[in-house]
Amino acid sequence: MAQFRSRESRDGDLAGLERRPGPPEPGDHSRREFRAALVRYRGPRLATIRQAQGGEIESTRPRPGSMADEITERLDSPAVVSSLIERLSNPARQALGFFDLTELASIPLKTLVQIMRLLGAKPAILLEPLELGLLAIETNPALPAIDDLAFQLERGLYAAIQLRIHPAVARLARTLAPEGPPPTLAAGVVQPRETDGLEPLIRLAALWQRASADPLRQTQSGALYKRDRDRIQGDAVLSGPSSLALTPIPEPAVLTLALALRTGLILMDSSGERMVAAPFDDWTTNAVHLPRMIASGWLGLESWREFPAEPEDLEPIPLRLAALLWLASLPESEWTTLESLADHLLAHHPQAEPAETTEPYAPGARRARPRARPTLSPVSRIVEQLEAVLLGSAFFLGLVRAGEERATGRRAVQLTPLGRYVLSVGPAPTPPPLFEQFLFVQPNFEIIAYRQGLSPRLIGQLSRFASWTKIGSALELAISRESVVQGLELGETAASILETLSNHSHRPMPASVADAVTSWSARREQVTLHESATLIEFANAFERDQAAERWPTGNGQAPVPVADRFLLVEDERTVPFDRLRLTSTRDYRQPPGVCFAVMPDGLTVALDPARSDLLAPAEVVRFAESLPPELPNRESFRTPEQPRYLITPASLKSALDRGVSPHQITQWFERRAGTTTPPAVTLLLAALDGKSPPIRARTLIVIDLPSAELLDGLYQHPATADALSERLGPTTAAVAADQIAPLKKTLRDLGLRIDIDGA
Amino acid sequence: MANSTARIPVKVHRNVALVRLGEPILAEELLARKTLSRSVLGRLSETVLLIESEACEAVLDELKRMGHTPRFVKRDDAQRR
Repeated sequence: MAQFRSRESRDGDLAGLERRPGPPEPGDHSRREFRAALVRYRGPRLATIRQAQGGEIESTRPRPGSMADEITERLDSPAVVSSLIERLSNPARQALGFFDLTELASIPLKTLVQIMRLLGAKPAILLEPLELGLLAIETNPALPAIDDLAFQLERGLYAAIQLRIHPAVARLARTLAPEGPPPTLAAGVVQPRETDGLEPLIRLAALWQRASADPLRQTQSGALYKRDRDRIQGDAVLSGPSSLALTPIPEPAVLTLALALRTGLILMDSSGERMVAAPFDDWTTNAVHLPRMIASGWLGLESWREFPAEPEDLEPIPLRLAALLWLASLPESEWTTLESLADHLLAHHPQAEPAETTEPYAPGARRARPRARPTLSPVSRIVEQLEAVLLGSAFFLGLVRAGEERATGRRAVQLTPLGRYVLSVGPAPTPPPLFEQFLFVQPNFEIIAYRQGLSPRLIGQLSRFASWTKIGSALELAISRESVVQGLELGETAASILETLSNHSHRPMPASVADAVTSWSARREQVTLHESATLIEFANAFERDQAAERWPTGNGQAPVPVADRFLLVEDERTVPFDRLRLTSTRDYRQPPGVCFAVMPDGLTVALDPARSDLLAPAEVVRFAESLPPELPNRESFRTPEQPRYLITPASLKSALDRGVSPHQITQWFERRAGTTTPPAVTLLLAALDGKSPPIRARTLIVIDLPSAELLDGLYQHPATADALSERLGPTTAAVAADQIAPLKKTLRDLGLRIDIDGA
Repeated sequence: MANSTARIPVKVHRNVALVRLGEPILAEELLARKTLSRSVLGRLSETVLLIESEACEAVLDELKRMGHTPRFVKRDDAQRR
């Protein structure tokens, strides 16, 4: 399942709302984090690890960066990892198996130690994979570099130290059941019960549908927005109690959301603020893996717990893992009681454990062993917790079978085939025989589904186009326009939806349902929005039709003829370029290019077909009129191949009325013609603007002097300067009509004569 | 007479954002909607409107508001198919 988490992609951070869960951690990210953890080791320590792996050290002063690279790269080889794992003792291999079982890439040391103690293993055994570099210690980067691994293990009980696994090691690590199983029952068991394990899948599918319709938003602190929290908690399917669990499951909606995040069915979007539904395409193909993925997600789940946190209680992850691993150590047909299992856990758990402390860590100083204190609750409290874990969530997930001891009536448990498969002590469970006809499609668009016919694959298939509305012994779904449209968006067709319903229905399909699905589908085909289509442009309709006829069949969707000369193709890879000659291409994600030339009149623009694109003609006709080729030309500058467009007062007015601004027109000329707005267009815009001051007409007399120097003299001399208006040229100047007589007199006084035409 | 096996010259327009409609009247409907017409760059034919590629999501939302249930062919869909 490409979008869901695969067993190779482990999440280093436990999913949880309060922790702002990130997207699934891909292998390369996990590998980088592993190397980053090693870089915090001292060089000599890394050299020792490198040597333990069988490598040679050339430098006398190994650098942490290069040594971390070498160790990380060496572990990329499965053969190397296998040989190193073979050197481990069974308890150490078992510790690696915890990563396999929970699909976590990094686990707090405290959690690992608690699991190992509950299984009767000594935590110091973790030194084995650490010394071989199969695990790496992750500490606060502000702390000193790591050298003494044993000391770090001891310190890890007090500080937030995590152990990280190399992704290749995680792939090869196998879950091992502990030795010395809990006591089994001699008297046998009555009323054995187990679930089909489908309800968690249906709840996940329902959550996916809700998030798909409207993503869930997260606040800065990582909590859901109130609206979304209310939406999820008020949803009968997500928040309704399970009718199957033998012990109530607290906050089922929170559990579903946490599992959805851990399995990758719900993802954080790139903003980190919204939880969105993952692509659903591959559900039906890979649904068979989902029960195991959900089980692994639950085993490593920290953000949701079966019982309230009490200081003296065990943490959920160690309890879940230890309880299930002890059950895995039983022979397949054997049962044990919750009391026996609780006794067994107590017998293996040490009676004293270091108390938590907030004392600062003092580098170089070994901490004195803290005062021992009893940490375990009484057996009855452990039994309570086991009830919550085994008869609640594990039973709900289909991992545990429950019954009653024949003699005493006490609760007895054993693993189901799915549980044994998840714990790696049994093969993949055989799917139960399915009832093909398990649906009742009703005329009111409701569907009753009997769970005996359901499988993970069918849950996925139905979830594509019908909404889950009720979960119980019988399940209910509803078909609506929205749900059908969602199905169509996921690639279903009206025919495939109706076929799925018909194939699994007891009765013929109600006509109202068939008609509605067909009608909704047809209506959707009326409007198609292409975000990134490819258009193939031909010289004419004939060539377009010829190409369409020769288009290879069976290679994706057929091209759609568009306008006179185009074929629309959804996937460019289906275009048979071997039958076409590519003359040019244009990528519309790139900025538009210059393809117009402004003609000398300033009002006509000519389009260069070689540089044109689809948008160019559409853009220009927003403010210009297309000139037909046969129109007699006012000028002689048009070439027949160049479509021309004329900007007129009417075309400009129409553009302004439609909301096109003068600024947009200016930008268009810069972008498409590579020039500023022609003055003729500016003139028209000014005319349309109506705010320009009126053009003033006045009578001026032009005086023409024999030389520029004489005119300079007139402008400089105080007696003549005031009579002159603007200078029109080197030797010409304008004079207002009423100034000509005073000027004439002044010039005469200066000894110059002025001749006036016609005077 | 044209050679039927000759390679036909074409120009390829890539990454074009457009709305394809079943009937011309739907295009008129869309163009009459101010919020939509702002994003329409041109009309390739009676039933094909070219739109701004940045406005795809907004156009999709507006089409839904109008009561349509458009088929949305995303860039990723086209590349994955």
